Amino acid sequence: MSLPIPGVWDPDGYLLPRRPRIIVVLDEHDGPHAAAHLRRIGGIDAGRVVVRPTPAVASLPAFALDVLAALEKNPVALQRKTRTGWRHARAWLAAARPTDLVIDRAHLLPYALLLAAAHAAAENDATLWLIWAGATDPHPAIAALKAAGHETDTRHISELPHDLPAVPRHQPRAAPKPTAARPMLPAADFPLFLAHARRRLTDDAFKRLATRYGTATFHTQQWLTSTPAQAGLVPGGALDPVALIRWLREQQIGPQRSGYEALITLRATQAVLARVGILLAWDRSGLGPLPENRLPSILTSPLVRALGTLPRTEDALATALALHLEQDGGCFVCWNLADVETSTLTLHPPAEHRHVQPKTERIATLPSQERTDAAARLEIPCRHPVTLPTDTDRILRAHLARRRMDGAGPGDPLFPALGRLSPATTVAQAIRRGTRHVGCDPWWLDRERVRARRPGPRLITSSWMTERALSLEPIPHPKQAR
Amino acid sequence: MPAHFLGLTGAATLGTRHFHLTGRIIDDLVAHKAVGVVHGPAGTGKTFAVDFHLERLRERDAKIAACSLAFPSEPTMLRVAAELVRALTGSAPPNSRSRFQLINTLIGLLAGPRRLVVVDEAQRLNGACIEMIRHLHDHPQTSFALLYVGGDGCWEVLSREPMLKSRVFRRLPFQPVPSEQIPQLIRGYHPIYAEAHDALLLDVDDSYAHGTLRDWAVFTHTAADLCREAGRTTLDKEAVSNAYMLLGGGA
Amino acid sequence: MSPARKHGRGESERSARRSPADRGMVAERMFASPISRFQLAGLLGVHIDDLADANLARLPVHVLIDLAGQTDLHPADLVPDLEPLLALRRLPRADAEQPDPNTRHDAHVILAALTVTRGPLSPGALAEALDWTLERLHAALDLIAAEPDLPAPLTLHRTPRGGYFLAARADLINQEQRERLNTTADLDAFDFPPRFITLLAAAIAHGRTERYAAFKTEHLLAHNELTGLHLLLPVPGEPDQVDVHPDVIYSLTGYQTEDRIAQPPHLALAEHLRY
Repeated sequence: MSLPIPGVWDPDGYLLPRRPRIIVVLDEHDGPHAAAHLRRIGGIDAGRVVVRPTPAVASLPAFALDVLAALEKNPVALQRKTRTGWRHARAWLAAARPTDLVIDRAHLLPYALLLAAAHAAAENDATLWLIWAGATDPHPAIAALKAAGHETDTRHISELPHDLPAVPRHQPRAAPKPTAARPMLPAADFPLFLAHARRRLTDDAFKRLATRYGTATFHTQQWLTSTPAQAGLVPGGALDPVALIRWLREQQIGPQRSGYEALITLRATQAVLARVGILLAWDRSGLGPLPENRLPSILTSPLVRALGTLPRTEDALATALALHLEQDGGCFVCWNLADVETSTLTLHPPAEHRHVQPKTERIATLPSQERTDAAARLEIPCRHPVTLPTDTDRILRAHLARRRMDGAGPGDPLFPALGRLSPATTVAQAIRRGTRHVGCDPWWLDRERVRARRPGPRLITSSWMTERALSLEPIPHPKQAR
Repeated sequence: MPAHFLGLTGAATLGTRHFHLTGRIIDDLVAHKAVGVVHGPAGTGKTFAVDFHLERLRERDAKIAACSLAFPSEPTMLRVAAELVRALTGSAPPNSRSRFQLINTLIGLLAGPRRLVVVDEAQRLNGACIEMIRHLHDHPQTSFALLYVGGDGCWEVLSREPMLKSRVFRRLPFQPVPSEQIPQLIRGYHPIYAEAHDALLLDVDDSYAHGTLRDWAVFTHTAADLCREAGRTTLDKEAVSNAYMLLGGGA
Repeated sequence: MSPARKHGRGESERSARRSPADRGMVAERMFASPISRFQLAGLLGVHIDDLADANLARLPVHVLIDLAGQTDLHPADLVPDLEPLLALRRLPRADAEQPDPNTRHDAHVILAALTVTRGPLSPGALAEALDWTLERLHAALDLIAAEPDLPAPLTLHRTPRGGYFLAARADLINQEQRERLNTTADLDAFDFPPRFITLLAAAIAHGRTERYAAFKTEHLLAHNELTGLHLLLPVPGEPDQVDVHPDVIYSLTGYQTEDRIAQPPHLALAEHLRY
């Protein structure tokens, strides 16, 4: 079997021909040192992917499972060999951006799998290391690789520590010093929060709170005074609520790591926004005993890592988006590949929309005397830029790579339809698989629960704001005295 | 304590040098999560020694889980994997499990508490089985000690696989007990030998047991019954002769 | 209808075997709890008509904890599958400590305080009335929650006609605390609507001028309510002027001042609101 020399995608989307560097590492004694060294060369974070093929692996779909396992996919999620498994493996490999792809026990692999590994290394401009143990003659394999256009070097196993050095063992982050439990924060609304905190917290606790409160105040003021385009100011001085919501979700409140931090940030933000005539209201009554814990984004770093163990790229990305926006994926069908800006992890609004229009889509601008319609709080995510958290970059890159491997172009959907299913159903199923995988059970994915909470025609029933019981209202301008 | 052959009662555990070394080897393997081989002709006491020291290990340190598996005939790699799952979990894996799933299930199981896996009759394993076990042992996520136990030809078979030979940390070949050691050793084995003549014991060894502890167990079982029936407490020529007849005529 | 379908996805056999009488008792206790049926339905994620048959085994743990706490129900009454698990022994706690004796005393003070209040009080209001930090208050509340059999600090009294009644021990709370317990406005659960913010801003900027009278007339309900909450303070001799409580000024502007003389921060607030 021969494969054309693959290429590497350059930033402009052109395929550049590449020849991989292939190194056959000879270990005639088949000793334990190779395995021991491979344990020390690090993993994906160090740019190294070490594949340990299942003994007697013979087919590409089976080998794909081994590569996916090397890319930290949970083997439990890799239920069976599939036709598309190798493509998923290549996509995740592309997202990992390895400098070195190591195949252990390469002498046991059929030539077809060695060629596939060479192809995958070439795609990523990575060096391919074939650990060749025992007395098996490597020359036939080398000849097969050469016939496919690959040149190889050979090394002895004793040179491996020099050629592929070990990386320092990652020191686990030191456990935080045990401190007193975080103080309870005042439950008062923002017009009284800071005063109650000053009076009802210990001095140390208030100092810590005041620092965080001051930082949040500064960031809010900075955002308000930033360029009009960023602040979403429209002619007439009205504030675009969508830009504000986006900022709250992606920069100000969403990324906070705890309810404690989020509540202080929220109160500071509310106080500053009130000064420009915006009430960021928070109705805590239905959020349970610790409502502040509902404020930070549910797409935490551990959850992103868990999503990264999914083998199917569409499951990982659709679920990340759904949890980031706290919506089912009805609007995700609108995005095309061209709408994705990889460098900033931003999905821009498409030129045309394909989602089912909800009955009310009117979003009032602020400030105005007109109370914002309840449905206006429900975001239509494809209508404005959406920026994912930075640690989702690998997931996004993997899915884009997968789509390119499918032959998709800039004008093709980010989430295509699968088989006879509609795009919307395909996305919905991907999110269901993803949420199940990470143990999430958002109510808005379950039709029965949606019907129970929001009876009536099915609209976009949730959003990042509604899930936090946050809303934006204009503060009426008092009439001047006559 | 493991049972003596055929439930022989009154017999003591013979503290041969190999017996004690087996305990040392097991401790070393567990401490270093290494690979070891205990091998030798049938009946030389390998299995008894290993079982005895496994029990001691379990009693001494409940945190170390030890499991043993053996195969009646030449197993396939998947059979070995399935039996290992059964030994580790107590139940067989679903039939639908693919090789990938089975191996990764084992990786997950062997990543847990400290373990010693003992593979008995290891001479029945082929290269694919040994490679599979190597894959598990070398995997960065697993952490277990491995002991191969085998009979005739075991080491010859295992040492043909460079990947195994190069990984063996401890090896103990069992051999029949040399005849000069028999009288002193056997006298402590069972009460019927305590007062027996050296010559008689050497004769039994020469004619029947040939330094093999299992054969001594068989002989002792028979001779002890005969002595008891005859109301004797010590082995004598008559008992020996009668035992020979029951055991197929002696030498 | 098959049992699986009838009892909903995910319900175990143990739950399904509960008798209608058992289910009824649990439902009754749920309905008798302080939270409304709508809140309960929201908490459980079901239609209000389906409350009695809600599949509680699907609830997130934090909701189950909240529900058990609100209804004083044993968790295994809510989810029978928990029964065998709750009998498991806990691991010994390395940091098990006896509560501070002061905390125990504080717990008694809170119990005494809650017997003299007219209604439920939020932690913030309790802290204000007792003049404690929130940390101290919550330590005592946690102890009360952990020891439901904590003896209540009550004394038995007789009326002149021979009747009996219970009253809080007089030695645990002083007169000042007693007055604050009954007069301090409980602002913890109070969410300021937009019109209140408007009036507060107007009061900050113009409360001590003649212009405030017009604002007051325009927003009389808000004025009265804010006055009732002691957030707008009457100015002696000036019925149409007000001061704003320093807590509000500080919280909205970050500036501390007891002096109502116009300071830049007040004008700045007015400027921001584009008056």
